[in-house]
Amino acid sequence: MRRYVLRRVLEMVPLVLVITAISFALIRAVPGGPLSAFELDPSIKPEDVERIRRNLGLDRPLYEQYLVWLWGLLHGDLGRSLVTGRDIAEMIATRVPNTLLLAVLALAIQYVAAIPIGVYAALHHRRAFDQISNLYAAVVHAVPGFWLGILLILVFSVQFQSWGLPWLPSGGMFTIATAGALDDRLVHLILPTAALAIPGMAGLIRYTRSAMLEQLGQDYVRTARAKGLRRPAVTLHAFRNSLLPIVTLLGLNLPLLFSGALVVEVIFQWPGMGQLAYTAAMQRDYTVLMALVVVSSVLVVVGNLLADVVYGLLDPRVGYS
Amino acid sequence: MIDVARQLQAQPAAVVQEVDEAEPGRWASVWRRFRGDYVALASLVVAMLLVVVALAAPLISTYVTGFEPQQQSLLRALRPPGAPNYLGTDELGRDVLTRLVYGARVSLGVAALTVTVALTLGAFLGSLAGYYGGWVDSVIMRSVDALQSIPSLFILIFVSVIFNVGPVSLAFVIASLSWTGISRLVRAEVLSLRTRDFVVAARALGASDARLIVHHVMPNVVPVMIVWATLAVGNVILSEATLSYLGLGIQPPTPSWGNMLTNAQQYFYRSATLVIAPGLAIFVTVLVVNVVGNALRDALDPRLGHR
Repeated sequence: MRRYVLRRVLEMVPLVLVITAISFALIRAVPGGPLSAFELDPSIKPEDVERIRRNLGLDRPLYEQYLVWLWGLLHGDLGRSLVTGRDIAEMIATRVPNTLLLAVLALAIQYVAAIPIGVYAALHHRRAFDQISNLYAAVVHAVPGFWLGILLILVFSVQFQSWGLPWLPSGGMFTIATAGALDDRLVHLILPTAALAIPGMAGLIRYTRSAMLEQLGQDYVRTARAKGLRRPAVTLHAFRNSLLPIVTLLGLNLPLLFSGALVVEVIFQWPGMGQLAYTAAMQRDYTVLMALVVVSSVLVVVGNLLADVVYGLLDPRVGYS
Repeated sequence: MIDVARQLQAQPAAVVQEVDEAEPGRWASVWRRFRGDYVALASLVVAMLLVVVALAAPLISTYVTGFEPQQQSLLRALRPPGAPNYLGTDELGRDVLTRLVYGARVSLGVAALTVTVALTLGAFLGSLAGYYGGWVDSVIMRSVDALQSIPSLFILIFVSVIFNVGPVSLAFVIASLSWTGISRLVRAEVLSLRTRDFVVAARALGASDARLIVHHVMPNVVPVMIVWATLAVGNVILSEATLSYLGLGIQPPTPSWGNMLTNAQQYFYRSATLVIAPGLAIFVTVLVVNVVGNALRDALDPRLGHR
């Protein structure tokens, strides 16, 4: 077990290296470069530009610059924002908890809601409930995530207000007036979480349903039924085995969850990593964007590793060789 | 049957005829199964209508709506639906219906180009990986793993900020991140086809690697590619719309369904149509394309059955 985890961690290293190398190459492909403004300025002497270039280490070969940057990365130094000059590691660190709060909550809700629905649909294969859950999955799968977010605001914030009903806040994490009381924070979580969990549920229902159907068609289920085992017990047998692919899906879905969270954060002005990426994109803050690509990729890779480890814990047949 | 025909394909004349006869029969039975699914059939009709609308956009703007997509009129800004603006106007007084029709051109065009590029790249790399195995396989598949573990929206945003993208380059950028799925599928198919008798027979007759891949292996991967391509169209439309909504994809004044929603969010107090119309267009398009894709999968591979 320990060896398996160690091997997987070691396998992550080249993956992360490739990701960092790609982001570094992309940033250097930017037309102009960091000193182009100085080069064009007639009041700055060419030898001063050269001096700045030397001081910043930009005169050194590209691979050396990459290694220096990587060395900083290993020490938690992500550089400084091109726009504000603030320390990027600090900027991201304040955002990560907010994104994780939103993403983990949405993930928990979608698993708690989707798994029973998927199991029930499989048990009542091709009956009304199954058809409706299929329809839900097909419809939600085709709805653009950002449009769903806008529609939620349109209905629950705008229309509810105009109908005189209790309405939900359309953005932010808390109202400044209440200075972040717990109930106020929870109310602000409802719409963004829904916008993230509703699309996620669709795929999960489908997946749970087909995993469950596959198990229900297995010989051991027929045997259990034939010997007269009670239905709930049979269902439990099948369910335990269909959990495995569901856990795998968790790992595969992480990148999607981050991408989804980005859009939701922008729409609901949620101060997470996604909104930071959006603001940085609008301000052409390349260094912040690059750091975000690296940090979010690393988070996803680590998440994948955790999913694989849990997979192994659930299924003793998975060898850790 | 098809396998036997392919085994003998290396020999000319009489046998070739047998192959030609086998092929139409196969597609006819696929069509017969597809035809039986009325929802899929209706979706196909809607999808084709959307393509016609996209192609005929200039005709529609001249003869039906009477507005140009970029024709502004501040006096007519934010009108509710009603003649002559059947779906109302946006904050600059542009006709929403006309922009929607032109938006179909952009959204469907970008999707078609993206899927073509991704399919070509993915099928090429996937077949190489599956056919040759060894280090070729390792290098290609590890790159696939790497690409799949990056949240693609972050990369898309990063790239579209660095390079100012137009519709064509946007298609290439999205394609460069979405070929991984099909390359895995093609690899798996090629891996199992490679050792089949008809391929071994063709190799024994002296066929080159290129000929084996192009003439013997790939024709059998076509069904998988068709299904993937259809389902990918929907996902690509969603990706492009998301990027354009964020202001990082198709740039105004060129209308796309995504960028029409960018400003709409500020004005939905005054006009809900502005938000509903483009979103509904995306939704309907993706829905019908997905339904067609799923029905195609069932029709191409009846063994799978209705899950």
